[in-house]
Amino acid sequence: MSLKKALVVARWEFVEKVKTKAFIISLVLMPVFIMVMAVVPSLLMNKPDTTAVNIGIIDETGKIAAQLSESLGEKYKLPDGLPNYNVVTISPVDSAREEANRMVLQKVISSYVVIDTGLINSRKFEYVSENVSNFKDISRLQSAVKDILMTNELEQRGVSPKIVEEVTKPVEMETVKLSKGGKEEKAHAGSGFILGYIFIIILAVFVLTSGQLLVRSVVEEKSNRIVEVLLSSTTADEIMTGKILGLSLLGLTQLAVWGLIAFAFGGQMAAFVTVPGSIWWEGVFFILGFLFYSSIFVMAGAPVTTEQEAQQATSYVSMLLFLPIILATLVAQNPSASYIKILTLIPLLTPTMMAFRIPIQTPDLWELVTGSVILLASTYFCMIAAGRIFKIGILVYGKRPTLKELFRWATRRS
Amino acid sequence: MLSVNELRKSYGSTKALDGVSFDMKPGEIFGLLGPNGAGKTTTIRISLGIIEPDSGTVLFGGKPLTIEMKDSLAYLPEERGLYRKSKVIDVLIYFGGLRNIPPVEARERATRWLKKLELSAVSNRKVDELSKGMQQKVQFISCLLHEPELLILDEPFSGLDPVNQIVMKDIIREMKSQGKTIIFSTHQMEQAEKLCDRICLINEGKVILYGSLGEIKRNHGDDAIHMEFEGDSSNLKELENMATMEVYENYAELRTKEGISRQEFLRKAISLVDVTKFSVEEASLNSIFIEAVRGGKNGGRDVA
Repeated sequence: MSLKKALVVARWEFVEKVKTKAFIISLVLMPVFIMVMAVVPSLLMNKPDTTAVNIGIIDETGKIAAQLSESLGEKYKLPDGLPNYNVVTISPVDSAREEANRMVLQKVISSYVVIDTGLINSRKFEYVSENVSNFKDISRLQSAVKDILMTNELEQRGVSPKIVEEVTKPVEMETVKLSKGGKEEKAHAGSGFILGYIFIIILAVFVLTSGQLLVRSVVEEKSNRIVEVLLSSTTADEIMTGKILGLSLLGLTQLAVWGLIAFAFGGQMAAFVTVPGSIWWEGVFFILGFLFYSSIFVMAGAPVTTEQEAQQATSYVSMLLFLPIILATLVAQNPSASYIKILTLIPLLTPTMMAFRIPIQTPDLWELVTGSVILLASTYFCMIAAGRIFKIGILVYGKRPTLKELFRWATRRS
Repeated sequence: MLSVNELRKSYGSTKALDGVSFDMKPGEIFGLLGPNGAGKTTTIRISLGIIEPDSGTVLFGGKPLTIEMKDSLAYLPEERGLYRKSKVIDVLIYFGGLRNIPPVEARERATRWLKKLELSAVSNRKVDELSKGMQQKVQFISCLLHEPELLILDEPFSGLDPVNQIVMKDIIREMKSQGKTIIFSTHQMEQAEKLCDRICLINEGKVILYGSLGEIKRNHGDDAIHMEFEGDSSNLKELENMATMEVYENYAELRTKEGISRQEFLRKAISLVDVTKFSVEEASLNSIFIEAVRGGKNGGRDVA
């Protein structure tokens, strides 16, 4: 194989794609989009209310309503200093619920709680609203009622209010991450999780950008038969190598630009995320993962004739990339569970699972080594298979080959 | 130069090539002819190493094709295409690069060719914005940048207007005068007749005619009579026992039957219509082609 021609192909793929409007737009739009997605919901979630919220209470005990009103009024204020919540007492007559429901529907109150006399024993009360997804209000109410119950109970048993106040103070917890080397570092709870997520997303975006461009450029060259001219002047291996090189360079350019943007805007982000010392393993799996998925894209993309089929083929591959995200919470809870370890050693999942696990809790050395060796071997074989499929696939038009045919192409020596 | 020996290639149960052989001499224009689907493109693809034959060999100057040798070949495929969203000059430089021409050199040569074909103005335009004829000329240029020794042109004239056909033909002749060897694949016999030194006619994956144009014309197809006339063409029906005829409104192409002389036929014809022109001409490659292909098909049926 002549590297020179592969480089000619790589240069072409890079230069021509980098100039396209679509690429330039995605370069700028994607970070904006990610920032909006990541930042806006949490901003909105923590945004204080600007007008008071009316909360109804049907209180059969006759005691809690006043305490709730006091507690909420003390703790939560609007920006202008007025109480965030107005507690509206609804007399606990037979028709109280109907009355309360009517008030909710007429927007006089946003929600109401029902406290019955058995509360102390059942430790249960009801919250009624049109919207039961208002996490902020719900959790505040819940903790307020819990505090009230506790205070009442303690006071009843003769504990002085001052002591009650002291023992019910919230506790802060500092999280410290212990790395493999035994180094202790202060880390925000969940920072490893977030870093893992970021790595998966970077890998996925990288693979998908280059992969999709790869499939598209093959489809274009097939549809206008440029592929025949290419093949008459060079070999299929050179074309494939060139394309992968050129397009991964394109992906890297994209990442570099995004990195710069993140660096410029995300000073706080960097402070929030602690980078573990085993980060270079992340790089190993990143590169191997990229090559591995690229070969899969080649296999999926070469036999395709139309843009539509190309999209289908790429969407299957993308699903593989996002599978670890589905398992994310399980991994975060127990990153060294044996089934997680087994899943990690499946080459299709290794890059993303490792990308996710390393920042959370670095896997043992044997796992890292086994994982990278298996991945390296699979990448090697997949590249060879992809080369063979590519060679035949780029000359096939019309009917999509079956998996059996693909397998035959991949295993046939030329 | 190029010699193709006993090529066979099947796609499933269809035999695309069934033992195709021919030799090309350096410096000639060689016509690879045949109806659509005869196996011309498959032969070309195998010759260029784009696909592998099931059996048979292709030799260039007695040696199998190597990657280095690819740099002295050029291929213009039948179905044309260039990168639509890229600039003309960039595409040309890229194709030059694929044949190991450094970018600076490629740009220089491309500019020269664009000027020669009156395309200088579109050099920086996107391929998309060019007319079909212009695109075809650009693609033709992409085959010439690396000054190939062997040019393989698959239907180079299809889709070109008569003026551009002449431009292309002149370039092909110029290439020949520079000593280049050219394979010219087509199903348009008039074109082949005007350009080719030797031809190979294939049909259904088999060679049915092969040799120099003159030789083939002498050996196949008798001279035909072209007759122009005025009067009722249906009167000529009376002559059906004297000749096989294709009769049109004011024109007929015919061959006299055995034992009937041309003079005899003409005397009879004059008595039926007003003959304005009567000439004996060499059979066209087109009629030889049709005859040969039909014959081949009939032969096939007989065997079956």
